[in-house]
Amino acid sequence: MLRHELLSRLHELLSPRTYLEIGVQTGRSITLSRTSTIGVDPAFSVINEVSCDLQLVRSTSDEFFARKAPLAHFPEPVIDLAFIDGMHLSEYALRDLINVERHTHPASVIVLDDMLPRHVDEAGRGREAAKKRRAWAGDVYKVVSTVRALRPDLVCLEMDTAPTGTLVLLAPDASSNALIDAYDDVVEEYVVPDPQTVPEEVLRRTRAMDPAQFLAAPVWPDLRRLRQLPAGRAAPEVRRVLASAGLRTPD
Amino acid sequence: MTGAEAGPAQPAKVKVSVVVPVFNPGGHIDPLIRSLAEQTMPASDFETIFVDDGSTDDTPGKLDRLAASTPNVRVIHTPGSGWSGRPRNIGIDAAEGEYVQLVDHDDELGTEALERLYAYAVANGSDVVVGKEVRKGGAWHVAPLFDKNRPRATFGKDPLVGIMTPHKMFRREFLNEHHIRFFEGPRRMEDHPFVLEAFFCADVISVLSDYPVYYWHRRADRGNAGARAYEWADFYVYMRDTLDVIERYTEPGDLRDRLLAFYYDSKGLGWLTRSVPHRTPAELRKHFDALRELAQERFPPSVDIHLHGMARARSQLLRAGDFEGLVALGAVESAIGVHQELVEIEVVDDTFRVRAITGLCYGDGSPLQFQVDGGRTWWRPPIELGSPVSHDVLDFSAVHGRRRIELALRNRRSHDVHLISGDAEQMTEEAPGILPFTFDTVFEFDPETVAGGQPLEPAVYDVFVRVTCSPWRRQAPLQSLPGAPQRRPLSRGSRATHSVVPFTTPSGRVALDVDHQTLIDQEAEMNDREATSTGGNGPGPKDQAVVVEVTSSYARRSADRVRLVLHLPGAGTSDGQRARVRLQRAQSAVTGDATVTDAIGGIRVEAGLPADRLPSGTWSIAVSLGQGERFQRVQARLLTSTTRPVALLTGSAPRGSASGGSGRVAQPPKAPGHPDWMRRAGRQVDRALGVLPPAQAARCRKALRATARRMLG
Repeated sequence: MLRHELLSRLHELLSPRTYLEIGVQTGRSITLSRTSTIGVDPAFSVINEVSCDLQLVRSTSDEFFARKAPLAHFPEPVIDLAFIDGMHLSEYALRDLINVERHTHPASVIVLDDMLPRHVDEAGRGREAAKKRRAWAGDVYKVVSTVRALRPDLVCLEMDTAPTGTLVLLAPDASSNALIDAYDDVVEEYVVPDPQTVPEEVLRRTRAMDPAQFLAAPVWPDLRRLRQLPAGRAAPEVRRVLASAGLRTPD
Repeated sequence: MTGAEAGPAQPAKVKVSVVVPVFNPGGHIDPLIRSLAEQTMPASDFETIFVDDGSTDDTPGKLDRLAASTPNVRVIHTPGSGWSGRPRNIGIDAAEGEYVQLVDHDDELGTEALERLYAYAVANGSDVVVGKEVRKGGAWHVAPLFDKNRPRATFGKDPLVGIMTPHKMFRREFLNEHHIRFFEGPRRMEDHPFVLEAFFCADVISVLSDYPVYYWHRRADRGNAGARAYEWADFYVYMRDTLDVIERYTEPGDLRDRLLAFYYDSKGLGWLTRSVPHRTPAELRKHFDALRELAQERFPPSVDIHLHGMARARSQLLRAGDFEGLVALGAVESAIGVHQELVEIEVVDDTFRVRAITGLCYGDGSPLQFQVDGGRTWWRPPIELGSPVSHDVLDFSAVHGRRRIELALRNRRSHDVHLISGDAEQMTEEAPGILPFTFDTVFEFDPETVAGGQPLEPAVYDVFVRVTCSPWRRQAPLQSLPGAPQRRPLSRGSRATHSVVPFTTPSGRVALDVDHQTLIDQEAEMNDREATSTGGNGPGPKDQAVVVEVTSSYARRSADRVRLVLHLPGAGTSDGQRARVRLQRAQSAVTGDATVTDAIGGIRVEAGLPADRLPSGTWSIAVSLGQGERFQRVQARLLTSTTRPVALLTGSAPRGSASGGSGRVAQPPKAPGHPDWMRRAGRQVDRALGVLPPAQAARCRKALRATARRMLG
């Protein structure tokens, strides 16, 4: 399944009230949205037709989140669905995740792109090695192990999508400081020269889930219902719903 | 309406009546007028009654004009009565509010004072609300009463007696029911009988401590208050009014004796002792005689049990008529001051740590001495105390154990004071069993919580040391380290939400700068000078900005610094070359040393800049590579924030964005309209044609393009 198909189905199943996309480029994924949408990209060149209530922000995502009320365009400042496909460097992706999660509800869904590179050449911080391949995923895959290690509370699902794999995060917690507290130390581990050492589990996608199976999980009506509840009450409910559907971070 | 003379209470027309007795305040009344106009309580909910007690300056006309233009202001003119009792009574009688707030003409109310006081009064059904009083001018003082909110304070249990100023809010019907009014005419201590009576009669006394309600300006030229010269004998005549109230409302016993002891010491013995250096022997003698007469008449010996050790010695000298002995003791006691030597100020994690040698010393700087003997601690006074003094008053065992050494942070703008208790370790013995009252003291506080659980608000704070060993409580500004340069930081501030930087004031004292109230301007000024003196033009124009390599450059926080790693193009250098990095944002600039090392394809510039000097925002970055080299702007910005990770953003600013800058590696825009297969075909053609000489390749490309156009329409 292509990552855009996963995203498209998520839009249908979740009917998010709000959608945030980091890394708009030509608008190929933002065109899937039918809801109140913010797209952030410092150098977008949208060539696709867009059919949603869209605010297109020409800014880096870091500076976007530094704004006073970044989500003012939304009817309420909560991100129901986020697609993070920004700068392909791990420290940028981790910051995007930290910043996005701050604005989520436990029933929100966060999707990160390019998390399962197929080859070390695709996973470089520089683009040189990727030139002989069709895709450059960058080293954002490093976020997977950070999240798995530091956020056992998150449901962290690697998705076997084409081309470079995605990560779906469920049951986010806007109040968690685990990632931001670790950020400064993690950065030092992230910024190392190419070639990167990519774990086998990532390259061979041993933990990855079939996206079709994920989309078939009977959780979507519940997630839609639960986002009406205050975060504190919704969080245990969301965890219960996900657990009973067997959605949990694989070992 | 039938006349009901003393019957039903008049319904309140407004929530609060502010009653202000006025006498010749001149311009000193303006801050009060301003603070009343700025109240958050709607003007229609309160009234101000100025009662002019026969002012002879331009105040009467000024108040009349104010009343004419301000619907909630009334002025009552009354012939001069010589003191504030009568005008306050006139104001209370004229008040139409549910509550009456008494304010003196040269003081001020906090902006939210009336709103908060009234809400607190209504919530608790209070008869009296004591709002937190902050002294402006003179020595600062923090009454222990205001350490927390007290919805229902108990007189005799909560330390209400230390705060007898009339600057309080009273339920008007409560004052009327109990006929509580001020003594009128020119007299001292007119407020004590009034406030005491109110405390005795009140069912509910509430203390509002979490907001500075009342700013008490204590100025030397108070036109209407205690600074004017008067006869001691008169003072004690009026003190009898206060003692009458105590005796009227208490039975003989502990509470009565404790209250009497308070007045005996604080308004009698203590005052006399403190006056020794400032009064002539004749004046002191008069005071002594008047107080002795009062003591014989009103303070039975049972009161002395409630006096602290040295106060008891004073009483013994007074009761025995030993004037010389009391004056000699007064001279010693009033010369006692704070001993202090600052050792260091450091910031560990988010905690401030101030270490100092502190204690109490005599006028000549020598420390107070105590002798440990038989498990008890005795004061060793530097003089003979005279025969009337019993040996037991020198037993400081209990008092010595309860000593308190505190650091006080006083907000220079609001005058609010926050106290921090020190951890005091006794300095070593001077001789066997002889202990100096000197301590190695460590004060620790978290600027995020030190203000009653809240962070320090942005301001400059003067720092004081306060040492208490009852009956002596002394305070002094904390002196900076010897030779510390003025206006420069003494230590790096904390990496907390707020930046807190200790620095040395021009008078050599320690102050805290919270959120760059003073230092930021100086830093900008210094950088301007630096730029001018080196002949540089500051950062170069944007188009000359140096490219920053994106994959290996980054920023992170490390302890209290922001570490910047910039990979720049450039020739190899000698490792460890000295460089400078400057961050700039609006008017502020922060410059720091950097190291340069060789790196693949260029150089690596590394710098650690103090995080507390980089408040939230986007900082431009410039680098100077070597001594005297001008600063050159680089294509990167630093985004700092207290709630998000610090971010180094490389690249140039995206066009049309408000904040500027780029994070994504900009990709050349794809040719719109051409499907992917066509672009791929084009690239394959390009590669194929690469083998031909350029001119021939160009001709082929042109022909192919024409063919493609014909085929695709």
